Amino acid sequence: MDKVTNKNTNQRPKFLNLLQIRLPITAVASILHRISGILLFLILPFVIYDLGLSLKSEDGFKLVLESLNRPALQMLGALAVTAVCYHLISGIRFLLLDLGLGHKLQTSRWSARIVIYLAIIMLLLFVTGVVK
Amino acid sequence: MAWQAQGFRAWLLQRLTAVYIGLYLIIASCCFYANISNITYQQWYQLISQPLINVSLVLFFYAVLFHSWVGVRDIIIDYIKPVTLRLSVLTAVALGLFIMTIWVSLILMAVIQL
Repeated sequence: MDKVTNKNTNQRPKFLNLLQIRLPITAVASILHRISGILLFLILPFVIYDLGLSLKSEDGFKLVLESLNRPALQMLGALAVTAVCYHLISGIRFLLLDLGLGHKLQTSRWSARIVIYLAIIMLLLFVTGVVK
Repeated sequence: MAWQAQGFRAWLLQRLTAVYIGLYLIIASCCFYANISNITYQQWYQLISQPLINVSLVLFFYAVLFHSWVGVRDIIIDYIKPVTLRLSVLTAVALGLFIMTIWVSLILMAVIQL
């Protein structure tokens, strides 16, 4: 009996290449939370540097404003703001899940979908400069 | 070691800092979004040097740095398997976050007006 069970478990296909398996939407929401989190962690030193520069002197303040207005940095800024918004909204979803709300499979799929769609809309709005 | 914040404690602190960060972001953007774009240096400096705003901002950065530690540590432990590499990356991140904590404290405490 044991042997049979073992054999069956061994023969299950192992297919964990993240680029080839199709992740469920809730897993996509979760991994985007991680990616946006890492992104925010990476920009943190630049935020602190800019904060310091902007408070140091009037020239520093102007330098920060000018650099934020450069097109290349505006794109990065748009990405960063999207990451903040996504991380915030998806974080609220996780907190609600922790509180025991929205645990049903259908509900959590649908909330994951809403969070991701909102992020795409925000990215488009920020990148095109409709919202600044 | 306590600073590593593992298990339930890390889980709980991750969520408590998340609530503070989230509320701070929402309240700050509601209060300042309308007129932050044409703020002058003097106004900006005055704003940040107000004790309440200054201290809450310091706490905000501490919360973000701590929240980052727990989050990044979880991700490193999940994806980096070789022990030496894992420990090196963890140490580098911890060191970076520690330096940023001191750095942001110095920046903000230099401008506080008591």
